Amino acid sequence: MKIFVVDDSKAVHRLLEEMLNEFSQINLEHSYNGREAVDAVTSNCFEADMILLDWEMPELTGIEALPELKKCCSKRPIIMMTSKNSMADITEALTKGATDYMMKPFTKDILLGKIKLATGEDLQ
Amino acid sequence: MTTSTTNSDMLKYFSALIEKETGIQYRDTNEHQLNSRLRDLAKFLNFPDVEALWAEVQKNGLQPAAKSLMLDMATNNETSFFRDQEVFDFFKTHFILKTMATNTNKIRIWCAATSTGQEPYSLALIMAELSRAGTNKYYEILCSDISERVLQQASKGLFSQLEIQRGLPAPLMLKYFDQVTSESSSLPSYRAKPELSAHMTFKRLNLLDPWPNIGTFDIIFCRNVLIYQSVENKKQVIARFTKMLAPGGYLVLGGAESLLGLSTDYTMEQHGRACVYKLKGPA
Repeated sequence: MKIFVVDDSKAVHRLLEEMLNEFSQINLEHSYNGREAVDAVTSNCFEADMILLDWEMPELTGIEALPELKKCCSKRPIIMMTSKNSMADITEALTKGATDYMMKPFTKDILLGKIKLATGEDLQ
Repeated sequence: MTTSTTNSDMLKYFSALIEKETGIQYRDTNEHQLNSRLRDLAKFLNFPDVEALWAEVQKNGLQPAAKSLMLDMATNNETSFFRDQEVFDFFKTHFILKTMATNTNKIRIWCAATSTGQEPYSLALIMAELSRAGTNKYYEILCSDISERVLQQASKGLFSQLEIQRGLPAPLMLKYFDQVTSESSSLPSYRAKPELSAHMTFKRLNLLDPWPNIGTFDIIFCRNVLIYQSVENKKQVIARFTKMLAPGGYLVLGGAESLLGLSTDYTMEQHGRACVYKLKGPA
């Protein structure tokens, strides 16, 4: 299973790699801003099964990229992954096409639970 | 006295106390778990280490507050929303929509190990979603637990930002929880709306003690509790559940638990990956 991680923080990419390192069936693809993510998704070779998308990023933010990502891969779950935690933010993300929402900070079991809800893949 | 002797005596003392009070058995297989909980207890009570805690207990006995905390820690409160999804699929699809399809009386549900509330709130979420979709059922959930602390937390319907994210999809969180400022954290907490909590009552109850009159139930959830009990205790608790289930009612145990050798009053049913027990009708 391929998970496309879109976040401008290298630390978050490292954290996710550490949390998912033991699962050989999971491969992470990395992107560091919304524009790069939209370009990747619109290319012919994009094959990720789900997307973890940060909100605040340079060039194109996650919330701006969300409708475009959703348009290109409507069947792939997109989980917003952000420290923004107001109910208004969560509502906005879900309205714009996010399947689920994961608030930072999160633990490994929360991440695995969100992956299970999104893809059915039970890693716990 | 050597450290290993100290450790062995201490574990013997605490495991005997826990078994006497709660029936939960700590043996070689989960000794490390007891050790870890004793370390937590020592830290919580401001002892430098478990040896200092043990020295105090030998000198002055275990004080009531420390005993209550110990029993609280000894019971496993690990939980999440919709833990073992297949059980909740059974509850919705088979139990509510088929077994209770024509039932117009109040459906009585008992969560016998409520912990911090994720199980009963998950059931209430299913009922609320069904209600919004047009299947309106009259129901109540009795939430009981041996621990006063976790039960108090459950009765408030309050969950931390970490707790609310375990197993609960954000769309459901938005619909059925309000965000509130947390007293103990810089992150917000989430409170269940009355649409969920209005159907619940909370009662402290030790499954091994005599039970008050709590009526009969259509379904009892007692997951991952009896696994820690002796065979005799298991038989005794299950026999009492049997008396409290309505004819054809269901008993739901944990995924690794079974009634094999404990009771012949039930028929095992498999619903997808969920294995549940249906009380046999009169012969």
